[in-house]
Amino acid sequence: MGRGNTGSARRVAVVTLTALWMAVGPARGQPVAPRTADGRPNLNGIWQALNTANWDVEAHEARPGPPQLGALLAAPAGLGVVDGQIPYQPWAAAKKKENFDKRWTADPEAKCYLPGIPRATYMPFPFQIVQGTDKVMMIYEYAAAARTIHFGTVPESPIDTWMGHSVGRWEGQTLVVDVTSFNGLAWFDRAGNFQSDRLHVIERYTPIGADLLNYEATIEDPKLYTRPWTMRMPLYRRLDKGVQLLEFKCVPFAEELLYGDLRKKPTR
Amino acid sequence: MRYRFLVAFGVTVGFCAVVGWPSAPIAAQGVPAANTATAGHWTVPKTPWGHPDLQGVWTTDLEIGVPIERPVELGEKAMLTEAEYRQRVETLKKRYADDKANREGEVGNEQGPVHWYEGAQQVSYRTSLVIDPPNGRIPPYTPEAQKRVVRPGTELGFVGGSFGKGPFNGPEDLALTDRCITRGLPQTWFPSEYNNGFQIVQSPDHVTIFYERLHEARVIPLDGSPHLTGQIRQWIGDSRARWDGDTLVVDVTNFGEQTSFRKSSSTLHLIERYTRVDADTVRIEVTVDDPTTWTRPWTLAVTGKKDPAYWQIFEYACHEGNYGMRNMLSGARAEERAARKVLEKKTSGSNAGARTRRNSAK
Repeated sequence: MGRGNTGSARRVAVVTLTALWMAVGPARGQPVAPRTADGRPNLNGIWQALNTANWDVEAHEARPGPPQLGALLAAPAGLGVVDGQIPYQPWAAAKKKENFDKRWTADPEAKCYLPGIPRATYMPFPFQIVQGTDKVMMIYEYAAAARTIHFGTVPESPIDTWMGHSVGRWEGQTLVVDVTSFNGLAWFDRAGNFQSDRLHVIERYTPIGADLLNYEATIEDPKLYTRPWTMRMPLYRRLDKGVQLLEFKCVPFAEELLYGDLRKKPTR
Repeated sequence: MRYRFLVAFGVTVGFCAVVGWPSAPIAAQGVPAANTATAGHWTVPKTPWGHPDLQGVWTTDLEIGVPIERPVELGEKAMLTEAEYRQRVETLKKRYADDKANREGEVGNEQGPVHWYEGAQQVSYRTSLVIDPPNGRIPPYTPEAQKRVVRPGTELGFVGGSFGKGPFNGPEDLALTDRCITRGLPQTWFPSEYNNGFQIVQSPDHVTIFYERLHEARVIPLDGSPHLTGQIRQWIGDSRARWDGDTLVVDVTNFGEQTSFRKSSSTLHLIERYTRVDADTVRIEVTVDDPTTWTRPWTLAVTGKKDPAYWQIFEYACHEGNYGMRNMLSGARAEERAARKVLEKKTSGSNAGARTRRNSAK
């Protein structure tokens, strides 16, 4: 409204515009995401990270891939998603180096194993959040990995798993997910950063725009680290026309790696 | 009226088996349960955005022991008589008896030891999962399908290495389930010995179904978008959903040749109908339509029940724990080595001058 309006006209204008904005959703540049029917932040949608965390969560230069593949599987450089470096205990730092040296066969991703948390979040594949009335599903295109975020008071998980046991709560604009009961077999990335069964992850998903989430994960593990550490990254909504999760059932792709030594050799 | 069913092993709870079929003979003829469900006082609860609420963890354990196809001699009878039912309960109790004092003596049926199995806790009266045609049997094959040869590993239970028949030359000789790839659709619906739970979570524009066995996840759009391009084929196809009154209708296409149910091909087309018939029961009917395989479409139905003890879907990290694959392949290679040694011994004549090697079992 232009200058020179009376006070009441201006109030009407403000109320009308606010009502319009709330009805239509965030205007361009407004850092607020739409809400669900029960007033929660709306995280529904298909999301994907756009960084090199799956190659290496720490800052890294470009690296060669397996020589016979030329530059195809070379790792791009990345600034890293970790605040500083992973605070390994000395024995764990040595183990990480061992893992790095045999990463092309030792990485659970090479075997099409479940990626665990937080790695599932930043695999180079989209994932989908479906927010139900008392559960939130996160379904990952990679290997059909999936997890249920439970709310309220739930019993402890009776078993340790690859994807952990997730209990969520809302803190204002943020979905906080507490993940425990890991079996410690997953890795954080392709660089050999590994986990133990004492892992405890606290994730925070916060909308910072209509198509943008801020993702933070705090990692605690007294077996491996001298203190907790945190990673953070944006998650972008996939806006491609007709986008949907497609299948990446990678077991057949990993069978030669896993079982090739047991294949019947052709007789001479 | 709420039915609380007893989970205690060995208690027959046959009356629960007919919940959802208020008029058993009618429903058994294949009339969709949606027609009968609204006849009573119970109405489907709605989500905050007004859709019928099918959410929760459901299990098809009730229908462990119901064959896919009805024995021919039962004709059009969709439910067992009381006498036949008692017989079935006896049989299932014996099959699933968990003698804790004698775990060593257990003999499973290729899905692990018996004390893993979850059958016989509730028992269904149904004579078959197939409800249409009225005789509860899958219709005949088309002439083309009769001649079709399906790669053994793609056909659950028909032939193949996994069920003892071999060959075991490589992973492709084993069933898709033993490779931990997928059970396929509609096979994922069939009750198996354990881990029959499936979880439904809904949002305004998607329905997700997360199956426990083999951790299959389906995210199904409700937005009226068209199916995937035919250039993309998927192991469990491509699903699109819409609401038809209180019934969720899901259309599934885009199957490839990698999965096959009883010789079905990439023209497989499924129409699923999900109806919540009471607080604890959801009925899923799946019409199987593959004109190059069967002479007419046919329909099967399964019943999902809520069970307070079955409140979560467990992780089923099948591939990660697939010792069976290594064991079966290495066992086959060990047998071949042993057979070669026997042959070498025979063809080398007497022991004198011949190198003798010990059999060393690995």
